Amino acid sequence: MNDTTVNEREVVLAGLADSVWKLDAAMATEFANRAVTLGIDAYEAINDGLAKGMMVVSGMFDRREYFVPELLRAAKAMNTGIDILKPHLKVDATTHKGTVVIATVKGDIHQIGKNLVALMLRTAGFTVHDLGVNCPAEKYLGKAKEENADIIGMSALMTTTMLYMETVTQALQKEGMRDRINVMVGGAPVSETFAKKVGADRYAGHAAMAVEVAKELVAQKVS
Amino acid sequence: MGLTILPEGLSFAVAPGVSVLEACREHDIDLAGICGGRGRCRECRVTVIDREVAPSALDRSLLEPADLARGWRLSCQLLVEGDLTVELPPVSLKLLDPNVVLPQLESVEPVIRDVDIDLSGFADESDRPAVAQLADALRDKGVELRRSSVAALRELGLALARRESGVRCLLHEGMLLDARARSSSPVYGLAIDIGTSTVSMALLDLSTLSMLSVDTERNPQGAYGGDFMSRIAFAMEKEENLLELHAKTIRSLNKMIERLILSYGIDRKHVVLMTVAGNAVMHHLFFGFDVKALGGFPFRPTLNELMVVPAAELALKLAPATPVVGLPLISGYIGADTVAVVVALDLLARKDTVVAVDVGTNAEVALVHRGRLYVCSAPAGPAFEGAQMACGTQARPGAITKVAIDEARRQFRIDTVEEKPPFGIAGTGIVDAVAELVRVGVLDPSGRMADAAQWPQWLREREHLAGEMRAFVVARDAEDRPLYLHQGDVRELQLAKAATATAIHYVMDAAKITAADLDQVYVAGAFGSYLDPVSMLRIALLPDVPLERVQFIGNAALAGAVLATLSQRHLETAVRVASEAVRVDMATDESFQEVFVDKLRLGH
Repeated sequence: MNDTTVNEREVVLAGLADSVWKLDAAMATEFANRAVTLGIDAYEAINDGLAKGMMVVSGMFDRREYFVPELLRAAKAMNTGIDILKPHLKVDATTHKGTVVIATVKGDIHQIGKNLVALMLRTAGFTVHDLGVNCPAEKYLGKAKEENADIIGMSALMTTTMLYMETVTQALQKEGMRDRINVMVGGAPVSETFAKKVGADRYAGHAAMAVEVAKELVAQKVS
Repeated sequence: MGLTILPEGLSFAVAPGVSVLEACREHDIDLAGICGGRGRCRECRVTVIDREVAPSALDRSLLEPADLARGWRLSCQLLVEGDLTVELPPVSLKLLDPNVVLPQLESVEPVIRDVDIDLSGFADESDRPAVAQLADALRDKGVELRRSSVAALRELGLALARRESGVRCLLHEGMLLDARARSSSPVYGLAIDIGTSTVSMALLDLSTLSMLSVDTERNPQGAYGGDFMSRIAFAMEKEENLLELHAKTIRSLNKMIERLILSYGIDRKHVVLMTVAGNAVMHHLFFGFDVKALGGFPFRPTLNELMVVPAAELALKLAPATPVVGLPLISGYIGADTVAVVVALDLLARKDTVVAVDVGTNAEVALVHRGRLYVCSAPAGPAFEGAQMACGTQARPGAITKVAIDEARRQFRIDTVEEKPPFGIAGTGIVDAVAELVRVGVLDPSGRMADAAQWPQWLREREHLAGEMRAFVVARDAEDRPLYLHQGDVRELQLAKAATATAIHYVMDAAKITAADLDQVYVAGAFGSYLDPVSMLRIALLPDVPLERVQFIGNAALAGAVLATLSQRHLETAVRVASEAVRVDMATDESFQEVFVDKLRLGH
């Protein structure tokens, strides 16, 4: 590679990253197409381009500079880029990170936080089975078994419904599935301490954080 | 182990392992616990007086080092080990003025029938029971007697024995409450709105159909959490807790009754009717009904119809047979308070298109269009009350309630409760601050706080960093500490505002109308009355209507309860409202997320 192409590669990766935190789907389209034209490895374009932009978004979300609408637009930009790059992924370079079964717990019909987590996980390469809201323990377990899930994700937005998380972890225990499946929880009234109390593996404070937590849980499982 | 509470100087024994907050709850000492003792707010902090107590991890994370040094601790985390003396926060809450607006009541049919019966026609020689003869006499006057209280029949017997010329009969829905010797003394009623934060009680003269006085108290359940979900969570812990919440509510109401009737020199037995409004959870806790089923989807109430019980059954300190009326609920999450607001505004009779919004912890919305009533509610959370904000506070003296920025004169003005030095920012102040900061460009309409370089020059000195978050200093307290609004606070407010605006959106959507169709927007609730309408419109908390169409109606839930105590037509309207209202479910709507996200925007 000569200097120009090295340079151009950097420009395209930076453009992909910028398009995500600038929430600009048109820009993501433009740079993803340029990556394809230049023959940049699609996996690298996703990982070192788009995903880096999402890390910036995650940091901004931590500081609340970005909020729900921006997270949705960032994910849209990222997915636009991924859709263009996907056909060019080498067959062996799978982006599959793991399988997650996610839902808002029984008694609770809040959906936005859970939807965001599902969206971010999908964007990050997880296979996500979203069981919606008001989800009973049997449904979590059934789907986790069926899909051989790595993680069950539970959301609750009310102090009254978050208690149900324990019902699910206990059911997992009872079915002898607890060792195979990691549990992560989140939602406004949920905390680190509460997560421990109900027997979950991890707590995630927001959607971007949930991706990091999920990655760590899967990595632990492999090692 | 003993706990002493200053400044009152109360002392009592406390079992080991009990927190100061729990001990205060047990002894009915008013100490706010917005988060329900979960260590997520600072409202329950006390000052430890007599010895060193190591701060807990939560104390360290929620309180400033300087405050820890002066002995501040979170009472929910502070266990009584050995003897302990603590001082409660020095300032009590300023309760918002319960502004009750009533329409003119002329030629109404009263709920309590007050009928004079001549006893001279009673046949002494007949063995026909006295009550049957009374029923005949009442029927002649167009009043049906169906049942009688023991007290009323005792009075009737006495009156006959004493050969009184007549008796004055008081009836409620065919039930004879009283039949004492003729007198002109007035009879009284009580109307109550049990709000999640405050309880308001109106004393009514049923003879002249007028309101004498209104008394307001903080809801004693506040010690178990600021929002009603934390009260349900407490009730779910163990069965006795439900009874504890119920008993505490009744005790507090009894105190209010005592105070009101004492100050007016009223004989308890002259109080002949009591009507209660409140959201579904407050309604259920008042009656002692289970609230667990109200804590989650599908929010099944124990009962939603009009409930009439004798006072004795609820241990209310009134004459035992005094009817206590619980106004009906629309559903497990749209309560009797909404019904009462609709009654107060007589929405079912309106020909124009109006929406009434109760702004608070729970947003309740009622809209009438072409004679149809649509209702919706949404949990907005406690952000409007200043809870869970970095420098937020309830409306105590020194709380900042208004914020105004005058760009031309470069003036930044704040109002505080009782004009005391600023101490924290109340919900109304937060709404004002956000609206003003959007206007001057410190916040963009998405809610993002701009880099200080983009703020108006004269405001840049107010930049602050709260942890990693950008913040704007609204004021400095007496000790020069900054009282700021940080990026996370703005987001909390956006969530509360979006929940309210989304509920309004869905009733408008159900009625197929737009903001231009709204002839009037009513803002109800004790808290709502203190909000600046300009700020509410600017951040799009309300639909985009001209300012003059926004009208404050004070505590309309209490006004509705008052009307349902005075007038039979209004009481019947309450029953109609509960059955005819179209419930709009928004959370299950497919477009919900899209609408909610759109409503996060701070502007139309």
